[in-house]
Amino acid sequence: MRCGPLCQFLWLWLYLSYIQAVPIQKLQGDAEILIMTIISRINIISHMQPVPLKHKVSGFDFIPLHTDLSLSKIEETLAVYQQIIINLSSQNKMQISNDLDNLRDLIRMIASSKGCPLPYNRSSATLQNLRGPLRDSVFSTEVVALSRLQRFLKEMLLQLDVSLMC
Amino acid sequence: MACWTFCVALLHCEFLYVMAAFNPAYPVTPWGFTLSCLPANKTEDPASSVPGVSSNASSLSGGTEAAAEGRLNSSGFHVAHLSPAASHCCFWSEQGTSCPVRVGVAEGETLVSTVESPVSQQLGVDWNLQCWMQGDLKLFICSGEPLLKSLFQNYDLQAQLFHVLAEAAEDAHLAPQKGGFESVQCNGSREGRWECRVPVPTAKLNSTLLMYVKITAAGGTFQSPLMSARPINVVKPDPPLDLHMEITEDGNLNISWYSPTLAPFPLQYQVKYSENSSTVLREVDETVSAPALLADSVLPGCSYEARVRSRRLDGPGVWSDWSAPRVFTTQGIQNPTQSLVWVVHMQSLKLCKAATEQRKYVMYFPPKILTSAGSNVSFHCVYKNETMIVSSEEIVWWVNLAEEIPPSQYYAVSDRVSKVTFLDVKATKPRGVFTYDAVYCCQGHHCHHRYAELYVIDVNINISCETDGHLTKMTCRWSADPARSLVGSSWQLWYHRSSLYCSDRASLHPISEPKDCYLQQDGFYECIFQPIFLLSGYTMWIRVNHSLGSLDSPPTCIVPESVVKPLPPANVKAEITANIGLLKISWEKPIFPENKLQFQIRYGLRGQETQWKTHEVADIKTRSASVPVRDLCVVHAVQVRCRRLDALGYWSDWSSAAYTAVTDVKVPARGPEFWRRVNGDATKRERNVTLLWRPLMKSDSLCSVRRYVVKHQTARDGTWSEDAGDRTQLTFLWAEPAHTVTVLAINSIGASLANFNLTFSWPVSEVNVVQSLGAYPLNSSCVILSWILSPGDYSLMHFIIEWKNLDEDDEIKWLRIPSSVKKYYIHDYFIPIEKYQFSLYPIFSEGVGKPKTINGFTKADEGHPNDAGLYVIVPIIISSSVLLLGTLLISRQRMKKLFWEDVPNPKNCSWAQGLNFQKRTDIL
Repeated sequence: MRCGPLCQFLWLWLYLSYIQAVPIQKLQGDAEILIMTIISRINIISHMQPVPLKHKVSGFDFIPLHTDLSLSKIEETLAVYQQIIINLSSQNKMQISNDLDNLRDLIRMIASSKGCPLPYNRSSATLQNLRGPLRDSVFSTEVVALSRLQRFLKEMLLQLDVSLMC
Repeated sequence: MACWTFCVALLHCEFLYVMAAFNPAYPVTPWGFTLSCLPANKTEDPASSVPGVSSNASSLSGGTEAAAEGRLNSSGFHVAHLSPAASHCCFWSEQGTSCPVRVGVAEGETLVSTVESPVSQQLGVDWNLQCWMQGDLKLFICSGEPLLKSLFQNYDLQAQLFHVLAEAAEDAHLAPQKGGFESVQCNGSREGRWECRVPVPTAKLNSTLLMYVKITAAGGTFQSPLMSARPINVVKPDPPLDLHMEITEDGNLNISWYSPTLAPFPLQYQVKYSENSSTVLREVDETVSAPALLADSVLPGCSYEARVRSRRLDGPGVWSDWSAPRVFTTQGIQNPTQSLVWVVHMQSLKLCKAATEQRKYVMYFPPKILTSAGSNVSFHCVYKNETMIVSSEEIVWWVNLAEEIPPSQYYAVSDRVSKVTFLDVKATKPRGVFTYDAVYCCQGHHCHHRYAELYVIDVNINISCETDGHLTKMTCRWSADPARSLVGSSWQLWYHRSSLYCSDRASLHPISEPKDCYLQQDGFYECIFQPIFLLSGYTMWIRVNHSLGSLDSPPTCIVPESVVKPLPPANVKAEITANIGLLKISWEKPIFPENKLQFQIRYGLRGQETQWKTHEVADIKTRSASVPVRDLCVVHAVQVRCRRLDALGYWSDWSSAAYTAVTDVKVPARGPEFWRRVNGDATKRERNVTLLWRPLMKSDSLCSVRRYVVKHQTARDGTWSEDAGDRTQLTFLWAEPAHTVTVLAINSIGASLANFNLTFSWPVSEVNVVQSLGAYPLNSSCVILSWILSPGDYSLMHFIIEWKNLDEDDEIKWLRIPSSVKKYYIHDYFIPIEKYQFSLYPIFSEGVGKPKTINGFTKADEGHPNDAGLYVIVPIIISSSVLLLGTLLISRQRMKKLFWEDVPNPKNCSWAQGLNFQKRTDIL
C-alpha cells in the first residue's frame, strides 16, 4: 500500500531518466526497425498468407481492425494483439509477443518524451472472447490475427515517418 | 451487622446488575488468559448462554493500554439476544484472582455474579487462550489449549468463533444482534487445541473486534463470554530475521538483525545472548529500539548464542516469537587442559578460558575472508603470549610463513588489536590442496600455528553475447578458466532484464534470476536466452558461490539487438561479364536484421588454398558489385558477408562460395603468331607454303578458340579467307610475286582484332641484311644467338629465328623476336654433340627477307674475333715490351759500370802498360 505512490514515482523517474538519455530519433528508429522485424517474422510463418482486404471473416470483432493511430490507442491495440498472439499456436508466438512488448515500451517512451498523458501503468487487456474462436477455429484466428497485426504495423510504420499524435 | 451485610450484598448485586446492563466484553490481553467453563449441569440455568461480563478487568489486564481500551469499549455493551449455550464460562488470568461468572438466567436476560476463586477450574474445563493480530496485518488469530489435555483425548473437538467488527468505539456500545455475528470454523485437534483465524481488512485495524468462542467437545458445549480487541493493539510481529554476529574492529561483538515485517509502527527488540565457555555461562538480556546491539568485548574461545524478538515500541502489542538462535564461536584455544578457571579480566579483556589453560592463543577476526581480486581486505588479531596479551604494537604479520608483511600495511587499532590490510589483492594461486593464503599474526618471529585464511578469486569475467541471425536467440559465453576457480566453489550466471536498453552504468539488480549455463569443449560456459527481448537490456554477472559466501563479477549489460551476427547473404552468384571483362557478384540481403547493412566480398582463384582478395561494397543499397580481375578465363570463387552499417554486432559468416563459369568474355585479344614452311624447288615460282601457328592461350583467346581463319591477299585475286578449323597449320600455293596472309582466331564472340600478317614476296626474299650470325651454346638448355646487320636504312618489323636438329628429323622450331634486339637466348634442349641449324629471317612489311643460316655452333676462333682477348693481350705485349726495353737499358748501364770497374790498372797489369785508355773509351 505504501509502495504504490513510491513505485509510481520510481517508474516515472525511470522513464524520465531514459527519456533524457535516449533521443527520440533513436526511439523512432528502433521502433521502425522493430516493426519491420515483426512484419518479417509474420511473413516467414509458413502458413501465413495475408487475408485480402475484401475478405470479411466474421466472429473476430475482438481483434482490432481499424485503429486510431494515436500513441495511446497504439499502445492499447498492441496490448490486445500481444494477448492474442500469446494464445496462438504459431511457432514464433513468444518471440513476436516479446517484440510487441518491446514495441509497447518504445511507444510509451515516445509518448512520454512528447508529453503525452499516457498512464504509467501498462495496459493489460483481457480477452474473454478469445477462448471460443481459439477452441473452435484456431487456424482462422491465427491467420486473421496475424494479418490484421501486420496491416496495423504497416500503417503504424507509415505514420511513424510522419508524426504520431498523443 | 446483619443489616450491614445485607446492604453490602444488595449493593453488590446492584453493581453487578448495572454491569450486566452495560454488558461489557472481556478485553483481550496481549499476554494470554484463561477460559474456565463449568459444565451445564453445574449452572443454575444451563439454557442461559448470554456472554458474561468482566467486572474486574483491571486486575486481568495489568493496567495495560489494551486492557484499558478494552474496558472503555466494553462499557454499555448489550448482548441480551445472543444464543444460549450449554455451559457457563468465564475468563481469568494470572494477572488477577477474580473471575466473572454468570449465574442462573432466563433466556434473553443477563445476570452475572463474581466469585473470588475460579471454582470452575475445579469443576469444569480450562483453556489457555491467546489472541493476536498476525504480523502481516491480515489475520486475527485466537487459539486455545486445554490445561488438562487428557480430557479430550478420545473426543473430537469442534470450535467456532463468532465475531463482529465494530466500526468505531461508539458502535461497540450498541448491542449487536445475534444475527450480526459472523462465524468462522476453527481448527481443532484431539488434544483439545483449537485455533481460529479471522481475516481483518487493513482498513479495519483500528476497529473493535467483538467475539466469543463456542466449543463442542467431550460431550459438552462451552461458550465463552464476549471478548473485545482492537487488532492494532495486539499485533504480533514475525520474529526478526537474519540474526548476524560479527566482531567489530575494536574487538566487540555486534549483533544485528532485520525486522521482517512492514509493521505500521516502530518496534522494540529484546535481545537475549549468552556467553558460553567451558567455565562460565553468562546470560544477558537487553531491550533496544534499533536492530543492532553492541555487546561486550569478544572473548577468544567462547561461543555466543543470541536470539531476538520484537514488539511494538510504543503502545500495546504482543511479543513476537523468538528468532532462531544464532551461535557464534570465536577462535580460541585448542586442547584445553583441565585446570579451568572462571572468567578473568585482563587488560580489559575477559577470557573465556583461563590463561592457565593454554600458554598461547591467537584470535583472528574475521578468521576467513573470501574476496575478489583487486579489492582491499583487512584482518584483525588479538595475540596472547604466556600470561599476557601481547601489545598490538609488538605484533607483526606474515603470509604463508614465508613472507613478512611490510609494517606500512598494519597498525594497532587498540592496545590489543592489530589490523593488517591488503590492498589490491591478487587471485590466490592454489598450492596443492591449499586454495588460500595463510595470514599469521606473530610476536616478532614467534607465531602461533593458527592462521587466518584469505581466499581471493578473480571474478573479472568477460561475458560476451551473440544474437543469432533469426533474432530469436542470444548466446552468451564466459570463460571457465580453471586457474580462476577454487575447489568447492560453483559459478552461475545471474541476470536482470530491464524493459528497454541499458543504463549508463550496469549494476547488480536485486531482482534477478539465475541462468543455466553449460560447459563446452572449448572451455567456455554457454548460456542461451530464447526467446529474447530484442531491445531490452540484459544485465549479467557471474556469481561465485563459495562456502564462505558469494562473489559477483562486474556486471555487463547487453542489448540483444546490438550483438547480432546476421545470417550470411543468400543466393550469391558470380560471373565474368561479357565484353567488359569484370567479375560481377550479386547476392540477396538476409531477412534479418532490418537495419542497414554493409557488405564485404572476397574472391580468388578456385583451388585448395585460395588467395583471397577482399572488396568493400561502397553502396549499401546495391546488391551487386563488379571487380576487375586479371585472369578472366579461370574459375573464380566468390563469397559475401555482411554486418550492420553502424558497426554494431558482428560480421556474418561468409556465404557459401559461388564460382564463375569459364566462357568467352571478349573476342580473342590477338591472332596467333605464325610462320611458314616453304616446300618445293626454290627456283620455281610456284611453291607450296605451309603456315604454322601455335594454339592461342586462354589469356589471349578470352577464353576459347572455335576455329582459325587464314586470310589471303594478293594483287591479282584480292582478298579471300580460308577456314582452318581448329587445325594449327594450313598449306597454300604461293604463285604470285606478293602474297600476304593473316591468321585470325575466332571464338563465340568474334574474330581477333589484332592479328599478325606475313607477306611472301619474291623480290624481298633476295634482300640480305644480316651480315653475320653466330650461335654460342651456354649449356644444354640455352644457346645465345647473336647477329650483325648490314648498315642501311630499312624498316624491319621483326625477326624470325628458326632452328632444327640436323641429325634428327625434327620439325623446325621458330620464334618471333622484336627487330630491335641483337642477340637472343634460345631456351631449348640442345645436345652438344649433335648438329643444329640456325636461321635468322628479317621480316619486312613488304615481305620475308633473305635469311642468314649457320650449321652448328660457332667456334671461338671463327666468326667474330675475340675482341676481349685482343684488348687484353695487346696491352700485355706492349707493357712487356716496355718492361724489356727498360730492362735492357738498365742492364747496359750496369754492364758499362761493371766493365769499367774491371779495367786493369796499367801500372799493375803488364799487358795494359803502354796503352792509352783515354783515347778509345768510346768503343766500350
